[in-house]
Amino acid sequence: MRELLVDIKALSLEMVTLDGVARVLNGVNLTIHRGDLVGLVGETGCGKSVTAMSIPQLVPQPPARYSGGEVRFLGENVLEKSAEELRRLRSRHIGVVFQDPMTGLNPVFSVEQQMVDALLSKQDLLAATTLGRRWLPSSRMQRRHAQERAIALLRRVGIPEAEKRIHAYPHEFSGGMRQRVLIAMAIAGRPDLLIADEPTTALDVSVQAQILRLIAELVREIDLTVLLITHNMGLVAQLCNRIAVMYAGSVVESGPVRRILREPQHPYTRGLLQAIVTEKTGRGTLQGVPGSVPSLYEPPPGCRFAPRCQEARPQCTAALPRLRQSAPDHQVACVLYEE
Amino acid sequence: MLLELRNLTKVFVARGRRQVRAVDDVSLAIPEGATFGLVGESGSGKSTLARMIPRLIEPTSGEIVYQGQNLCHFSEKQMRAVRQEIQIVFQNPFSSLNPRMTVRQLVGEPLQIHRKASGASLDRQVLSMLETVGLQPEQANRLPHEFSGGQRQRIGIARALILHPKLLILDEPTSALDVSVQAQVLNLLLDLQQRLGLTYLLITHDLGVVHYLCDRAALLYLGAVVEQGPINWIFQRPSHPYTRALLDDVPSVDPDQRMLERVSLEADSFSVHWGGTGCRFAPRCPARQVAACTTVEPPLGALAESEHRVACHLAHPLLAGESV
Repeated sequence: MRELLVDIKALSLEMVTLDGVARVLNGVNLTIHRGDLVGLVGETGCGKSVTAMSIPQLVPQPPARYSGGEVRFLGENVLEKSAEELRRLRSRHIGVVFQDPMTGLNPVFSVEQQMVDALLSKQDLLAATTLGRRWLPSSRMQRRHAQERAIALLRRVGIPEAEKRIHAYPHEFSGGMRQRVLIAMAIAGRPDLLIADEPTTALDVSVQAQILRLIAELVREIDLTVLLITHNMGLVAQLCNRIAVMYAGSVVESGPVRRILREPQHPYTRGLLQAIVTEKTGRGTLQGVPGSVPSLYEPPPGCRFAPRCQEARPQCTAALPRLRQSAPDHQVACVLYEE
Repeated sequence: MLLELRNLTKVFVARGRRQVRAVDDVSLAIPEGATFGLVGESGSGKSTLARMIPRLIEPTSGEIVYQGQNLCHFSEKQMRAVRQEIQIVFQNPFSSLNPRMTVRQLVGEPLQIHRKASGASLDRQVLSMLETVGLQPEQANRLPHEFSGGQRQRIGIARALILHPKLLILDEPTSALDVSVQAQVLNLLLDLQQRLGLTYLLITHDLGVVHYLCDRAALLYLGAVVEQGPINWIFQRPSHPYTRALLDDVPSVDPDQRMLERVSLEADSFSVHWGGTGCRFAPRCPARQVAACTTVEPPLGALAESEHRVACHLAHPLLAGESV
């Protein structure tokens, strides 16, 4: 059995807003083993980013408030870690690539300045922990060293003429190139886990394909584990080996990609798959999921999908169905599969 | 033909007098009642092209022939009348609706601007239009933020339809929406077209959506049409390397279609420089190239099926004067 990297158990999170308390996560269960490529899929507002960003504790509190459950990374509950421990976790163990490559970089600093600063802060931290004090030889030498490493990283992620381009500012890069820079920064600490939050949503399809190929290469080369947050099932089918489907704050189905794409069990997963237009979809035959996502302030009783579900039964509104094993290595949270 | 574009060109002059040909000699024709897809990646000029049709952007040269009349010669007053018939549904239903106006005001505004209705008659038309696009009349006094993305796009569609246009320009109508909601909006568009006899110009980068809605399509690359024709030919016999690459790069939900193992386009249209001679796609083209690719701009020539046109030397070896 491969090492269990991330184990999220019954995680609940609320957001306190002016409109009231939004129940954003409602008992999320998710496991990630080393070497996995997990696709976390769901619609806007289902809690997929909040779930993923709970691993490096990047969800601002307030407004967020964890109301139950735990997030274990390599066995330790990150909800109980100190600020310094979290800094080390983010620096050495978890890399994050955010959705919008325009806002992920500071427009007033060159790529070189941003990368070198990030690398130096990681080095400081490493030195601080291993030597028990800040290791400060000639800072110029350190900078030069970090710069070389930054250029090597940019080369690795496919930036042509990296030694020249590193001096450019973010606006001088196209969206795809900016996303490569962010990936380079995310893998700089040789993290165990790379969280990619909609990394290609703002990009054209041809560039999206390039970024996916790059991630797949990195996985093979540096033994990376990936959590890909997306609403695009196609990306998951092409890149991932496991999938977890979220709806209104819960994981409703999870398992191996092939199995879930071929034999989806949860009515929501089935609905999502039917809603995808491809060239095989006959005109007028596309089926969406009727209705819209429920309010998180006053979620419907029981299963949150019940009001939109065509197979809903009276017992669906009684209690929130738990995620259970429905087949080997396949979990689903739906009363249709209980017993 | 309801609308014909002839050699339409838009040159923007950037700082330092650098010229950008955002739309470069585009000709296409849209029959009444049809759905025409305009496909391209960001920077291909598709939105500039769409905004030139009701002259929200003035073309540099070329003709916009709407119902037999060249709109470029119309006065501003004449254009106001034409714009009632040519309406645009904008991409982002979050930023294209004034957040401080109620649905009733938003949908009624075009009628007021064009002085078509007021008072009780305006109200009646607004409520009936809300019903047409699948919204409840009791939602009329709500503000945009109270609606989901899909419902907001319905408001955008209602606003465009209230003047009873003939041509609806849909600029990425579903790209900001979730898949489950996208299906509802696409089916609404099909239904409205059937009921109201509308003609659509659909701008998108989503090939699945193009195939679902369109009868014909044109692919734009750096401002020029590189392939155009009936939808089935484009999908079954894509003849431009760019079209083939785009079709290959759509991630399939079938895990057995191994997209990542195929090689396709390098770089992107922003970072690869095209000097202005030869084929504009040549610097990124994955296909085997001939000498003409870098010296002669390939014309948009007809293939055996005369309605299917492709601007590629490899598809027209005789025109390029070479054997391929």
